[in-house]
Amino acid sequence: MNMDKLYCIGYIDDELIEKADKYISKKKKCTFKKLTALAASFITIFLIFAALISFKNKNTITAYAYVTNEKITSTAAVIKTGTISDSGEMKGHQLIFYILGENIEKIRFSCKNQQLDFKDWTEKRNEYANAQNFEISYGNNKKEYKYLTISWIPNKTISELSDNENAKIKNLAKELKEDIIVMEVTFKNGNTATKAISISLSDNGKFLASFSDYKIKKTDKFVRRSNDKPLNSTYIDKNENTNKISSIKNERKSVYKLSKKQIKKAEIAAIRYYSKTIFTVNYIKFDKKGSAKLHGKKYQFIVNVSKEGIIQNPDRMIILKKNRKGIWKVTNEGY
Amino acid sequence: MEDEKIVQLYFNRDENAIKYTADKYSSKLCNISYKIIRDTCTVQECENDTYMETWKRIPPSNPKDYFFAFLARIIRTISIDRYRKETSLKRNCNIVELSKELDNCIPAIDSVESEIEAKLLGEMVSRFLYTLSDEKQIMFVRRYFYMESIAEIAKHLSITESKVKTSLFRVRGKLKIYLEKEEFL
Repeated sequence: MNMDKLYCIGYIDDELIEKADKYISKKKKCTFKKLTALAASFITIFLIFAALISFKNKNTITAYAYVTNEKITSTAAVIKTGTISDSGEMKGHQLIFYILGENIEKIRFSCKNQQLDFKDWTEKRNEYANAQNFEISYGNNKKEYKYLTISWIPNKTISELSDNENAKIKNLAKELKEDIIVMEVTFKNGNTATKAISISLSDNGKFLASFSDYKIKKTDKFVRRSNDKPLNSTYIDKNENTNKISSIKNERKSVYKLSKKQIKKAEIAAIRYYSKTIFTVNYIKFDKKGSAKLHGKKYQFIVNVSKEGIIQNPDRMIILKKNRKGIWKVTNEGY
Repeated sequence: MEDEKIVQLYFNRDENAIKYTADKYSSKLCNISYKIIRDTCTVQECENDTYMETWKRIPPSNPKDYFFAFLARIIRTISIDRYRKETSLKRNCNIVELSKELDNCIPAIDSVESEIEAKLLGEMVSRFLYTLSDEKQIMFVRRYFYMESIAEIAKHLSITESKVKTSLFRVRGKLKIYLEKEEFL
């Protein structure tokens, strides 16, 4: 008898579990209490409705840490998901967060010193890796917002600590210990808001983050940088020479038949492969440029892994090929 | 005591946290475990293991918004693991029935140690459930997470058993189509 399927159901969202539990409790109340509760509900709904009408122009967003679902507040709090040592070794995950709010049309992210990865788990939007400036359309379905994750990657800090034997966190330059992610939010009703997540690295290797309102200053040149290109973009710069344009077209030609669903299937095959090794996959992304250089139906993915809880650098590479039966097989793996 | 305050006690490493957790949620958690284990002594052991695991996980976890879901997930996992390991426990007809129902719509995972795949599948099922009405979501979660019987679900929702059966049958069919579309099957 297969318990694995019931085991997998254990990974559904907390919100669904709580909702199902609380719904039952309400049904058990007696009629008199129900009527009282009902009356109270109507009054509450009326008051909320009145408040909503009077405050309808206010739009707010909140930021949450992805793994722990902990709200990032205006008070600087330790990010419990990861730490870094003087040798540049990361334990756990750097900050990964998502934004929740009402009627968000789009958010433009700008990272001052380090880099950002953006992943859309619903696979409807362009994704970004090692980017500093990009814009994301959020759309009408606010249930999707939780699945739009932004990872902050302190690559420069990690490199400085790991490349330099004598480097210590306490002696690092300010731009390697502090960073800011500015979010320019546009709501459906045309209102805008600017928020920022401030990150700092304390001497003991822990990261602190806080989320607050932000006012863009004239000296914030990083916000005015142009947007980075997404990972799966079909963008072609018309100002580039014809050789470069034709090489981009060839790159698109070699991978154009690989749909998002096929990429997802290949990713699952890669994750299954790593589940039998000593590595734990943190994230995996399709390497379009790398794949274009391969012959035949081989495709390359970049994988970030951890070994015994320690994030491994640099990222690993895995190549998969689809056989005639449509099954993805690993043909090569390594650095 | 509010969940937020109980979680804060865990953060402060105050052992009263476990006492307050047990006072508030013991019966609900034992209920979940009993549906899997069907043995009172083992259920009590699972309950104690749950409090121990909760103590270990908070911090770094901070489930102040979904504390009961956090506990329910832990005791459910512990109970399923105990059920697997202890062949002396009575074979649970309800579990057999639930597994058979899910056979057609959820794929087998190659290895239980492939936690990433199980999490991916759990996320996909969540996304699917959000496309359904509240009543259907609750039916599915009560049936396959809380492992309630059809009769219990019908009583709690004040609807007929045949409506529960029909709705679940249709939801499983839609889930199968959804997972096929997402190429997870």
